[in-house]
Amino acid sequence: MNGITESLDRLAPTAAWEDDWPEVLRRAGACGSPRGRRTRRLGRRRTVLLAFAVVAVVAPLTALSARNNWWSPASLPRPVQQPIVVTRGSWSGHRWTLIAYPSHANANAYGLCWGITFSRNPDLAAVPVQGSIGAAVMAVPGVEDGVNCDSIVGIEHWHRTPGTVPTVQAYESQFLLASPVQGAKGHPAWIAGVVASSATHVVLRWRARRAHPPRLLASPREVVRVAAFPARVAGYRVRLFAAPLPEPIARRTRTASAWTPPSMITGTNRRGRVVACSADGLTIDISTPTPLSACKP
Amino acid sequence: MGSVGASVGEIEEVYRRRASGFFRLAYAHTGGADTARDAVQEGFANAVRGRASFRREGPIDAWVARCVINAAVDAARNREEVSAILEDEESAELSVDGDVMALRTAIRDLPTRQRDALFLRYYLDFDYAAIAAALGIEVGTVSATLHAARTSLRGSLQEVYR
Repeated sequence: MNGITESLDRLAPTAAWEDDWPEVLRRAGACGSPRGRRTRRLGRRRTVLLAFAVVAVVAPLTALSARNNWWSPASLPRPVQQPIVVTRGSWSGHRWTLIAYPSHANANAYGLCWGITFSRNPDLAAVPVQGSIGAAVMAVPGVEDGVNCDSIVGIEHWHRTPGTVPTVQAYESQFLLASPVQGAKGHPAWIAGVVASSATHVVLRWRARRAHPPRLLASPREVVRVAAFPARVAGYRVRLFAAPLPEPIARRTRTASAWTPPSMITGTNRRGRVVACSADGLTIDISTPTPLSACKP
Repeated sequence: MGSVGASVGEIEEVYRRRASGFFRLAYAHTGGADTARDAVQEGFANAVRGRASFRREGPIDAWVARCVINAAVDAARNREEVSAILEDEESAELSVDGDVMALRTAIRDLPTRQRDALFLRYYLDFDYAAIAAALGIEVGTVSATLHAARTSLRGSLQEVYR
């Protein structure tokens, strides 16, 4: 064993390594001169978001759109409005802004995008990029931690034709966006998502690890309870929420190096009644929202 | 879907923590410090460019490792092609140390999976789960892969140092 270790040390001696992260970003086209930086970043973001759109939006929606005959080359999705600020806040001294913007393709296919930025002065001038069914993906230069976009099924849309799409006010676990590890700049790990407009609060719960039988964590330190804020995005009656991840969950991610999404997400109205639900182990299908009964105590 | 993609901040965090280890991995692949540094920078740049494709199905370190390994393999290939035509400075330096050249040959003769597993284990101290995620293999096969690599390399080293 020692012979191999010594040999590998000889093969690649411990050399003085000097970090040069700015050079990595330059290579990636993520920064440079102010004008060039913006152009390249948008170009890169177009590529990144397009890739995201293909994987996250086009694939699951293709079957649904084909089934419902939604797709028409003449009706590519387009942004409905520029990103808006849903709410602002501060976590451990880190100011954050939750943004969202809507898009739509045709009368039956809609998209909603949202994200968190820690930038003090986020540039929210979204630039339309190539769209996909339901979600017109746009570059948002001010948002560094990613933007999630998805077509909304199970969220009531006031322009929808009754009977053509589900109208149950529930939502799916895929309507989440998270930065599950602490950012390099010390930004806290966080999670954000969208919920039906009737839900004023959201409760996120994770499953206990290695618990048999499976059970949900119940300690106040391990459960996220957060208010949901109305989002004035055209065409949607939704609320969005954002919260820092509980330390035990963030620590789990750091130690296991794997992000674990919540196993149960419950939206409640002002009277505490369950009005939205997503629970793993149940069908997560874009045309079949989780039944509300799954989240009832 | 949950969350999709890695943030630039997450990739930078891996860079700050592991770049020196990745440098050694790339050095072992390429045989030259400058080429290895270039491969690490390019690998991380590729990770930044492709961060939306990270599916969070394993640790981000493993996903980034895949990017750096690919960059190092490309760099090594280019370096060999160039060296075949021009004897650059680094190649001349390497040729002085015959043992290292023999060692490099022994390593290169290992199956790719065994070599990568060995590098990830020794230079980056990856655990078996991370190695499995980086190489796209089952965790249960990592131990056997490393064992086979060590056995094979030990045999080659006996030849080198005999």
